[in-house]
Amino acid sequence: MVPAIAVTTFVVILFFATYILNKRTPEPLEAAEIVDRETCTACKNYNCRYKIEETRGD
Amino acid sequence: MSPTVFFVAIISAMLINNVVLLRFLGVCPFLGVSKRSETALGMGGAVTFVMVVGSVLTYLIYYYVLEPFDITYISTIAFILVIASLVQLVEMFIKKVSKKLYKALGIYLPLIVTNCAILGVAETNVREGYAEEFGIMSGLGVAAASAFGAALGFTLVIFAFSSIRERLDAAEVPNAWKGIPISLIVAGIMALAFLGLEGIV
Repeated sequence: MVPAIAVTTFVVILFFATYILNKRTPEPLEAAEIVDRETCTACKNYNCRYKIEETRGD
Repeated sequence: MSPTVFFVAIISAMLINNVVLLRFLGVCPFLGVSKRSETALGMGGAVTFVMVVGSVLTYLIYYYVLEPFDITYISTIAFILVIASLVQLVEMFIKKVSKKLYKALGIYLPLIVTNCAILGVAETNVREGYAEEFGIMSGLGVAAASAFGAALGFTLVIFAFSSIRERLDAAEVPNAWKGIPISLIVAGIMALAFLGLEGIV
């Protein structure tokens, strides 16, 4: 019974440690900016969300 | 041990006992992340890493910790938590290395934790009795090869499925079949095709 509790406690602590480390790692802010907007003017794909934003004037 | 054993383990896990199409494990990411080939490949890469490393770790934990103390009954909870910790590490790594992939994988990256294919492969590796057949350390090699094959099978299937779905977007499909219905029909036909590979090893 004791080894089972010890192993379970260890893996739970391991999980929380990695979880906290992951949460502390900042998310990439400009992750969405993968399109070169300068070339967007030549594109005629009006379903593209960049085009929709451009049409709206965002 | 003959290298043929590893080759057979990889081919068997990849094609004959494909985790998605023949065992029906990992169907959630299979349907959820297969709209674009690029995203599907990213998911396949992440799953491959987690599946192989997770299988090796869980195998070692099973034979060096759980079995000696006769506590194999907690294997499922221990495996889940080890895999979950590994996914946190992978997420941290992708955040730092590939912003594009992080954005593309979105919610599906944390969902690798609940990808039952990974837990299923880890459990299968200890239940198959590789350690009894080849010894613990040689069995580890076979288990890793099997996990790698299963991950390759997952990646192959999700990439092929995403390529078909991309073409389906441009195809004329009856309204009632658009989206998920036609995708499920395609998945069923793919499963039938994989069934034809049974018996090659």
